[in-house]
Amino acid sequence: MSFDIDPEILEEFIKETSEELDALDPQFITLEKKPNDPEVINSIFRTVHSIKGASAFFNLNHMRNFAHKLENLLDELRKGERKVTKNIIDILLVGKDLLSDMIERLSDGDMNIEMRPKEAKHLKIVEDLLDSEEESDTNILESIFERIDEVKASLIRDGLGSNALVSSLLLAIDEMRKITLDTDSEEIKDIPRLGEILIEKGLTNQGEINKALGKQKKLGEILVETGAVKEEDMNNALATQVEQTTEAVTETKKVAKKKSMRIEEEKIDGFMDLVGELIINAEVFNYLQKKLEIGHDLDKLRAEFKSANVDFNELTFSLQRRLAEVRKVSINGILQKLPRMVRDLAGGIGKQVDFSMSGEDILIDKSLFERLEAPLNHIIRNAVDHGVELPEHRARAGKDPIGTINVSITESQGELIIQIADNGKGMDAEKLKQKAVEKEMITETQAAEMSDKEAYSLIFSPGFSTAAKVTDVSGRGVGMDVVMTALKEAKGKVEIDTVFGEGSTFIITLPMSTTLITISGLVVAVGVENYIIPMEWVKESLRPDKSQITTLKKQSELVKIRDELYPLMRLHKMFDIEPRHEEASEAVVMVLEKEGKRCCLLVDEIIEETQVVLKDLGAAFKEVTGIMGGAILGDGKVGLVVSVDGVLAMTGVSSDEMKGI
Amino acid sequence: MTVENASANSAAPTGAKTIGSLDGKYLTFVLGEEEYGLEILKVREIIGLMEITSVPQTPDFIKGVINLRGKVIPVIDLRLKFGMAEVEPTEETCVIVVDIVGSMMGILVDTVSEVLDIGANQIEPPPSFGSKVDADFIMGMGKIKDKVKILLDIDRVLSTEELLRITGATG
Repeated sequence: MSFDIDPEILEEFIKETSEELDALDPQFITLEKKPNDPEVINSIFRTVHSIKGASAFFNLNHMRNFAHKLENLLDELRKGERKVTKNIIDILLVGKDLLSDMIERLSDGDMNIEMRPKEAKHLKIVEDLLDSEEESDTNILESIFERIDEVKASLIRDGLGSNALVSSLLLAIDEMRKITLDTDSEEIKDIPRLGEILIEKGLTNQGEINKALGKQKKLGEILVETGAVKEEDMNNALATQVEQTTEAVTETKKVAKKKSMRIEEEKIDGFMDLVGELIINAEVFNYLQKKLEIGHDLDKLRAEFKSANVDFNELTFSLQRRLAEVRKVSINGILQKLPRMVRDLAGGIGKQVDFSMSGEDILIDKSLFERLEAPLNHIIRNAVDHGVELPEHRARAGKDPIGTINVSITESQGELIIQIADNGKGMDAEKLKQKAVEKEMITETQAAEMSDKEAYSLIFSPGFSTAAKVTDVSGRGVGMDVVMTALKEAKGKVEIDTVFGEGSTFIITLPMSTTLITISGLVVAVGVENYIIPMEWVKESLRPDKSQITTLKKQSELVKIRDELYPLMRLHKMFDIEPRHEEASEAVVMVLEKEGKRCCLLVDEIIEETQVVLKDLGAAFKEVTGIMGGAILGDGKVGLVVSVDGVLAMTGVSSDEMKGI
Repeated sequence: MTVENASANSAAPTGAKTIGSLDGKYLTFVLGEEEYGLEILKVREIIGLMEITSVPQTPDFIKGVINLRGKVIPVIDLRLKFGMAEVEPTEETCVIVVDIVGSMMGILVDTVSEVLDIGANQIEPPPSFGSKVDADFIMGMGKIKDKVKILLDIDRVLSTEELLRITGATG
């Protein structure tokens, strides 16, 4: 196997093709909804056609052949020679998946894409379909089932779905459908070998075949025997062959697996401009340095230094902004796979789901993109499996038999907000608590004290699964806790809003940038330590009067500001440090407010305003709830940034309770 | 937690290490009365003591974080981690920056001694008792000219699991 393909071109091909294939799924879903839209078929056709062409260029014959057959089928659809049916879409989708598999194999360094039994089998299905007349048996069956489905839907709609006779009839029909249409259930073992066919036909037996196979010689052996090549030379050549094969494979692997992204030339040019300005700026500093050494007019020097410094700061910030811009990719890369996933999942368990989404145009940082995919998929799987009910159950509850799942993505104040809403059965807080008690995850007392919101979050605990039986889709008790872990790593969180019987909404909130987060903050002093408080959540700061402070039971304190009460949090108590001012009226309180929660934070003194780059502190500090990260300060020391979420979580008094006081 | 545990385990592959595979270069340093060794491959650099920002809500042995050329890295006081008494820093106190599965960490030691080549025949298995340090943290005992160096399994000492333990005392 020797290949003279430029690895860079190959890499480009792999990347482009997998992107194109990913983009096909939503198009197939659209095709299913609008089977007569020529634009959709044409666009799918064009993609498959170009894959065929490119694979021919790379000598990937099996892939080319495979794409060619799919293209023929699409061509017939395009010309209107064949009607678009669910069956055909299924066949095309499986075909697309197999093409993706091949690309995956290619990117793993397997240049020798050979036909696999699964692929051979599917190729045969496509070929048979191409050979068949428009109304093939499966087509007829398919249209019969379509009609049955209509009858079934109207039975359910009329509330007859629960009738015992009717439901057993529906079950029988479903069974029949499985037997007649499910072609995936049996696997072809392997492509038969010549010897096997000969034996089968009774022309020879296994013993003869083995004898003959034994006589087959390898090229090397023959050459050595005929004296064309010396045995020693042959052995060396064989060793070289092994060496080169391994090298070639690892080399291709390395090339294909490197992380990379495509960047528009224009953006790079923008960088070059900025860097050019930076170099000029550096020159100005050099000039100033020289002037300083000689000792010139100080006032003039001060002014010049200030202006150079202002330029420098502006340049650094635009450089940072542009770099962040370059790292961004469209979230559509994740979203476009969802309709297909929902369709396949729902179809597999007899559910009907109308899936919709919005916000595909939003750009997110590449690292966020990579972290978001798995948790989003999990929540949607969960919504299909546990949220949306079976059509007959929905009908009985007086709902439309077709459930809905909506994914909406918005961007606000530097955060990405993803809402996944279904109109399924919702969650029952009491049931969740009971289950957690049964599983000994919480005690009876804990359950009794738990708010509904806390109870919903139980589903994110490891080992918690509410499905009565395990299904393929979800319900193994792994999964939802993975969501939590993945989101925590991305510094995000998830909340659940649900009404029992009406549906659930999962709300994921994530910071937009995980690579470089700049924060405007206030540097505050507590005892000998300094901390940074993110300014975004600071509403005001003031020195309270003694009369404004009330102490409740359990030592919790309240501050009254313009007739409103706020819980008082002492940063020195939270962090266990010796304050300069124990008396609140000698210190400063900052009013913090975020997402409807608020409190007053007591610090000794506010020192200055600052701009910092947030740095992760690492795994050793992941249980420190009061700190969200570190930042290098102007003097080179590390400053700690206080987590407003962490502070608010520790108040222990909810805003509802505050109203009651 | 399952994810964390898995990574912590893979970070501490001591189970598979045999005495035979322990030979190599070690950086030795002093803590109290005893001398310890660190595989040189784990050591990134040695820096003098600089100002450490202490992090609240953490065990005592986590001294805090420092700025290492723009990176924020944690510093662990090995004396406290091993249950020894804290001492005032001296001129010789320094921080050894080590690589722990992709992330850097600093360890505070009394003083750094030398780099030693220790052969397999000079290494003995860790003692089951009689050491101040938890036997789990020891890969082996290097014996050079009557002197014993405790060869530390630094991946395990600084694993996330260990760092999240509430108490520093292990003896």
